[in-house]
Amino acid sequence: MNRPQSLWRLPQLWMLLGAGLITSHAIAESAGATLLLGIFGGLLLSLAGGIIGYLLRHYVTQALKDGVILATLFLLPVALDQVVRMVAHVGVGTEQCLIVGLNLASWWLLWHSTDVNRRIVMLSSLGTGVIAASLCQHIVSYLYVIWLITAIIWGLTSEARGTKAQRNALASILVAVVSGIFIVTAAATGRLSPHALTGFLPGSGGSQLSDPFGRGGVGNGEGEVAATTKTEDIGFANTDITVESDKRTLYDAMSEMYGKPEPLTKVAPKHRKVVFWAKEMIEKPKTEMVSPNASKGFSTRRGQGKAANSVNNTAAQALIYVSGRTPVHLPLTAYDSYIDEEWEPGRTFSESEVMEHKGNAWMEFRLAHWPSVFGAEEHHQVKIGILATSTLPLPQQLVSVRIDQLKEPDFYRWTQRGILCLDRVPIVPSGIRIDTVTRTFDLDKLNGHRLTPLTPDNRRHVHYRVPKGMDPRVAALAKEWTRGVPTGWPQVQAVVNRLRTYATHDRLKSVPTDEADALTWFLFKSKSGPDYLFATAATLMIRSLGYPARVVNGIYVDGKHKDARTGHSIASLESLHFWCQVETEAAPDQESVWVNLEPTPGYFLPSPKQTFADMARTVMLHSFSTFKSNKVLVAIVGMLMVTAFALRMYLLDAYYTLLWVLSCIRRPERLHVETMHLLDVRARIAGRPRKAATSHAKHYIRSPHAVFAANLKLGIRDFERITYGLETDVPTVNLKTVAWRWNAQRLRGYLPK
Amino acid sequence: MTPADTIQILRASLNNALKGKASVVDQVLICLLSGGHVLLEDMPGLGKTTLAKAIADTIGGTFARIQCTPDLLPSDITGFSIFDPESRSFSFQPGPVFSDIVLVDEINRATPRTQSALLEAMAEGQVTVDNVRRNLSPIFFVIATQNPIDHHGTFALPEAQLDRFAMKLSIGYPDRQNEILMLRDHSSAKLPRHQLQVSVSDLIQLRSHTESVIVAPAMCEYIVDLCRATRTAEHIRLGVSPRGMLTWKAAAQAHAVLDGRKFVTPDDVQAVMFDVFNVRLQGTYANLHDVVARLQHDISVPIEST
Repeated sequence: MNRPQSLWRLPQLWMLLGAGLITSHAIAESAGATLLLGIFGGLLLSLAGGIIGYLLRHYVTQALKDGVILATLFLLPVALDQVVRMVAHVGVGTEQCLIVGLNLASWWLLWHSTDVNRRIVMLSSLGTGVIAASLCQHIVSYLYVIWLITAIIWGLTSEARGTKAQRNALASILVAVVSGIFIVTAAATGRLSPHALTGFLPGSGGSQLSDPFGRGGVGNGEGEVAATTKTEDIGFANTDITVESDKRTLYDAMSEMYGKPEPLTKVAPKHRKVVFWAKEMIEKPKTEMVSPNASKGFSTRRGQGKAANSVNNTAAQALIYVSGRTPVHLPLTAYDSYIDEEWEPGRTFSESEVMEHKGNAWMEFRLAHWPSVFGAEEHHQVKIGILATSTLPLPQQLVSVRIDQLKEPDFYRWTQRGILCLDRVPIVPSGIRIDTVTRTFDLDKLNGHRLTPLTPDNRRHVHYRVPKGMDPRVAALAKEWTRGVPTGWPQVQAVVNRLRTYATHDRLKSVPTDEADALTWFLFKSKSGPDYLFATAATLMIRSLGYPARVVNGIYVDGKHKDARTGHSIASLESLHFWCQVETEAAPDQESVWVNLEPTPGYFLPSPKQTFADMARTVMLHSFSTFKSNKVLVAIVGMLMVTAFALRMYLLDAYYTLLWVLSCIRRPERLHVETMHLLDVRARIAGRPRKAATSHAKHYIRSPHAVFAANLKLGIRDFERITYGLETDVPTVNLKTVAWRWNAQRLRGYLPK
Repeated sequence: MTPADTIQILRASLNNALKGKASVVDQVLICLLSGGHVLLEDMPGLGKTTLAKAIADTIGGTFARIQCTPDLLPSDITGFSIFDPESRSFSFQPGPVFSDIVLVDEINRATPRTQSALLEAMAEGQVTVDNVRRNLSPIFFVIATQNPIDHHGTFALPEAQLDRFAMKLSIGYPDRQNEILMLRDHSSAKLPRHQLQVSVSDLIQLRSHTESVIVAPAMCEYIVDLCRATRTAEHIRLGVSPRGMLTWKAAAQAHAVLDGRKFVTPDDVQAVMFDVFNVRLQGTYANLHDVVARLQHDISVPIEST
């Protein structure tokens, strides 16, 4: 019935392009690329839309239009993705692009269908929108879903009865309710449905297709592939395979990295048989299990360490792979007592911390409940490379952990306090992917919390003990560094921070054999040494002040070495690291936790992950300071913006007048129609739009006898003579007069509201 | 006499007879110009007869009035043959329809049989009496009236009959100022007769001028789209027929002539839309104005000539 005058003047089209822009941005964000990609995609989409529109208008018949548009919209995201892959070397899974394309196409259908079709398309596009959004998993995707909801509800209510205001009110309420449900659901579950789909998407490794930018998946059925280098790939082989591998135990790795202990105690086996995950292994009795590193101590008297070798930083040599925020400390062994210059590993932790299966193989821990000192929850994925260990290298302060298919808490065991290992499994298989949720301590906020005081009946008294023959100067130095500092955390941090500047880190140094005491040599003679001496010094100094501390060895992932293709951080041999931990508790009856401290210069603790409010505050402060430092520029830009806003009517008018001039040059025979279009646009800008069903004469000739409006009347009469009277010899002077004289501002004053 | 002059005289004369009703006068003139007939639905005593008489006076044609009652016979309208003893033959006595302007008062009080006799006259411009076809006046123009409040002893006009009328109009009460004016004029003398007159040939010329008014293809599309919309619109049982569409086009052309133009614009089409629809749309709607407004709102006016 009401055929649009031109498809490309429809506001829906621009909404569609906006949707494309938002979608591309969501994709870009999820792939870790920059905003640039989103803008680039949106622009390309708009450009493509314009080109297609031009072609359709001029060359294609009506019958072909919908087909061409649908096919183009469906395939556009895929094409876009390919282009982006070529240009920016980032991308998204083909399946995601197809879903987004489907969504775009369905929206196109929505605007060109009626009744039943319309409702079906609305619902299905909401579905695909949610899928696309869940794959993206980003704040922008939430916005996209809410935008979809809004558009759909507005579309539905536009057909409802009642006045426009009533319909708008109804739509607003519905949007608020549905968006509220969506947000509450998303917030309550914390995630949409990322894991529900991963196994079913083609480029994920779950089938024969392989896509380097696939979203990852579980290898199921015939198309199972063995996991190689990506943490996303979980490739449990179903059969018992025994392969020759150059896997290293932690002990071997440490010997290689830090030099062999003196005297040499053991020859590291170069090749050892590694048994992959097998059912029989899991069922083997616990007594036969030997932890490869649990019983070995770490001497601070060693040979020379290994020089950094960049060749080792390749994916094939990786001990583990980590995706998530870096830097991150992943402890493997905790050492409790320092006897004869050798750190003894702590005893196996006997108490089982309460752990619950939360569904989908997620195990949740009862973390000490001190919300004020924790940052926001953050996710890491760890995949074991060539490291042979029964201990799981996981970030500290675990909230929950997940290994696919391990759905019973019994599979996990605490080897030491805060360090998790797999029960009944001697070596964690390579390729296994471990998902973790952790909450980082905010050290600055810990100041209010007490450290466990030294009491004789304390069961973990070993963490307070300093060796009997320790140089008294060590304790004196600690006293000196903490003079005037309040007890508790401030003192601990004072020691660690002073140590970071007091000595320099030198991996290749080792304690000379003729030195009587390693610690004395490090602190007072060389003032430089490898990280285990920093950790030892910090731990013993903190203990001398009466606080519980221990040395921890594990993997420090700095995020500098990354797999170029997957973007995952690689932890190589050089990532082995020693640091110290301090025990703290909020109140005597609460469970204590071990907090990481980093005494070695050049290594850093992660700042706690910021919550949204924190980030907003940071951004605001940052932008405020930016504004402050660029006062003149901001003032100029601000004034320009204000001016542009004040003159928006003139600017828009000028823009459309330019378009009018161009179209009149291109097709002078259409001058009368274009002039009326110009007049309509100006009336719209002026807030006095002409209804499509009202003629120009009726809308614009308000007072036929007004002298000042005579030229407007003449122009419109000429337009009518050409259009309705089919006259061909009408001069264009009156029409041109209208175009040049009747700008938006003048129409605003002339036309009644 | 140019068409413009003719129109000016007609307008002045009718406005003089029916004070303060310029828009009704214009609609009646549109019907006169486009060759359609008018159905006036109004209270008694609002000037229906005055209007009809004024038209007849102005164009100098003959005027007849038929007061319909249930016992009115078709022959009372068309005329009948009577035996003439002198010529020893039947001679035809023409009825009132052979006048130029015919006022059919209270048409819905006549029986359907009598109403259908008018049907042929209005549609074909001719009557058949005793198997002899007789042509009516070339400017034959019917003004029928019906009384909306009096439903007793009436026979509602069938849709087929209604479709023969171009428009249904209501004159309505005059405003206070014009009623005072009316009292003054009537008190002094009988209604003064307008001096200037137009001839029947002038009116015929004006009608052919009206027919020559240009209706651009886009305007035809516009009219057709609007008509088709009435056939599928909600609450409308009977939409506009193709005959109604032709009548509408002619009325729009006449409106353009009244405006001094030689082509039809969307405004012409919209201006006569309500009155044209008023006589032929049937439905369950409460207010025809809303229906017309909605139909108009749904169809954009054409802004390209093809």
